[in-house]
Amino acid sequence: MPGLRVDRVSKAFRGSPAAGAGRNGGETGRRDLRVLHEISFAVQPEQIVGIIGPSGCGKTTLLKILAGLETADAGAATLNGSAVTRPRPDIAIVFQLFNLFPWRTVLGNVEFGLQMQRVPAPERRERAARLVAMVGLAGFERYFPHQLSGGMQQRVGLARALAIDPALLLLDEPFGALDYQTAERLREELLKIQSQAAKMMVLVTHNIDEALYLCDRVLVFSPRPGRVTLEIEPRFPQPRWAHDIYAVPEFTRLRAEIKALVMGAEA
Amino acid sequence: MSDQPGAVPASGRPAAGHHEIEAARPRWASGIRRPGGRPLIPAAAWLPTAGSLLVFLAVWQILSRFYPPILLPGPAATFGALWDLFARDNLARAFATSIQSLLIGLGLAIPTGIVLGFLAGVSRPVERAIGPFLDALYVTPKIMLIPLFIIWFGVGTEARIAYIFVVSYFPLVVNTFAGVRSMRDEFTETARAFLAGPLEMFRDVYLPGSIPFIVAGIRLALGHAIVGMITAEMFLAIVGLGYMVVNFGNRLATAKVLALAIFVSLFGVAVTELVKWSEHRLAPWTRRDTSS
Repeated sequence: MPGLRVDRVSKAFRGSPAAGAGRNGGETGRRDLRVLHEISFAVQPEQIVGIIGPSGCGKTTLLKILAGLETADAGAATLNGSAVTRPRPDIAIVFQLFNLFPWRTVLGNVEFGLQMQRVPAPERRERAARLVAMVGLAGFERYFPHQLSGGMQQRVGLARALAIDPALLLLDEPFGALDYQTAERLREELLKIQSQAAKMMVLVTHNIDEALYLCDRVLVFSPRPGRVTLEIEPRFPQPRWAHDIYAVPEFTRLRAEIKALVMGAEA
Repeated sequence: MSDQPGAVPASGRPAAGHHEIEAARPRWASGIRRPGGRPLIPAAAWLPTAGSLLVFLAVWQILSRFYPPILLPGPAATFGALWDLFARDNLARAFATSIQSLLIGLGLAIPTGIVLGFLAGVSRPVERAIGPFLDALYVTPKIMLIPLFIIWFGVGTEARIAYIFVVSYFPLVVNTFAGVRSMRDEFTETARAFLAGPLEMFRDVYLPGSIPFIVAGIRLALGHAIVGMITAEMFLAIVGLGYMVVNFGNRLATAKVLALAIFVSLFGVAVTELVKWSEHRLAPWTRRDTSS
C-alpha cells in the first residue's frame, strides 16, 4: 500500500539526566524521558504533512524515527508497505542547519546520496547537476558551502535530498535558520518543486504560518510527551504561491486556533 | 556585498534572479581569478615582515661593530661564510646525509602516527590504552633517551632515524586524534541518513574532515623532526649538519656556526611553507577570504 503510515509510535530516552526530577531528591536513580506517546497518522502520496508543536514536544525525534536514524520503543512507521527500521534509499532528509559537508563542493554534496547508493559517477554527476540547476544554483557547482549564504546552503540541502529521488522527503525546520525573505522565497520554491516532483513530505516546524502555507495537513503536538492534539486540513486557493494565502480569512482563523493551542500548552 | 546585479561579470555566473545569491558572492571569488587585478600578496601582508627583517639585519650589523668577529660576525661575514660552506665545505653533501634520516624517520612516523591517531579517535578503549604512553612521551625530554638509543641501535643511521621518529610521533597522533574527535555528530548522522556504510564513513567523512588537523600535525612533526635531526647528529655518530656545527664550533668558526643555524632555519621555513601550500591544495575548503 502506497503512503506512509505511522502507527502508535512511542519513544522514551533511557535514564536521561535531564528528566531526573529527583536527581538530588529522594528518588533513586534517573528517570526515562518520554518524548513521544502513541503517535499515529498517515501521509498519502503527493501530500505534505506538517507537524507543529512547542519546543521539546518530540517532533525532531519523530522525524529521526521516520528517517530510520532512531528506533521507536513501540509502534512502527511503514513506508509503501515496509517498516522503517534503518536509513533507506527511498527516504531523504533536509536539516535545519543544512549539515552540508564543508569539504565537498556544491556538486559533491548533492552527489553524496547517489554516491552512497553506488550510482556510477557519470550518471550521478549528471543527476546532481540537474538538481543544482533546479534549485537555482547553476554556476555554483564548484563552490564550497562556506562560500554560500544560508539560503543557498539550504538550496543545496534540498537538492541533495531530492537527488536520490526519494519517495518520502523529511524536512526538519528547513527554513528555521534563514532570514524572513529568504525563507519565504524558499517556501514558495518548495511548493513549485512539489507541483512537479509530487513527493510525500513530512515537515517539522514551529512556524505556524509556514505549516499552514505549505501543508495539506497539519498535526498539532502537545508538549512532552508529544501527542497529536489537533489535525487540520487547510483548504486554500491553488496554486498557493500565486495567491496571498496569508490574507485569506480561513488562514487567519486556523492560525488563531493553532496558536491558542500551542501557546496555551507552553504557558 | 550589495544588490548590484551588473557589478561582477564573471565566468560561470548564473543569471540569477535571487537576491540572496547576489548578496552571498564572496569577494575573493572574483578577485583571485581576475587577470591583472590585485597582486597575489598584498603589500599589507609582506611589508611588516620585510620591515622586521631589515630592522633585524640593521641591529645585527650595528652590534657586530662593537664585538670582534669571533664573538659576533656581522651579516655580511655570516652570509659570506654560508657561501663558503657550500663552495668549500661541501654543505650540500652533509645536508643530503641529514635529509636522508629526516625523510626516513618522518616517512615512518607520519603513516603510523596517523593510523594510531585514527584508531584512538574512533575507539575509546584504544584511546584509554595509549593515553598514558602518549602523555609520557609528551613530557619526557626525548634527549634523555639518547643513551638508550645508543645501547639499542648503536650510533649510526638507525639510531638517528629512531630518534627522529620518536620526536615527531606525538603531534601526528594527537592531531589526527583531535581531527577525528572534532567530527561533529551532525555530519556522521547526515552521512548515515544518506546510507553511508563503515567504509564510506571513513573515506568520505572522517578522512576529509580530519585533513586540516592531520596537515597541522605534519607541520608540527616536521619542526620537531628537524630539531631531532640536528640533535641526533650532534650526540650520536657525528655526521651531516650536526657534524659541521660541532666541528666549526670547536674551531671557533663563529660565522660558519651562525651560517649553519641560518641555513637550517631557512630550510625549516621553506618546508613549513611547502606543507601550508599543500594544505591549500589538499583542503581547499579551509581557505578563507583573504581580502579582508
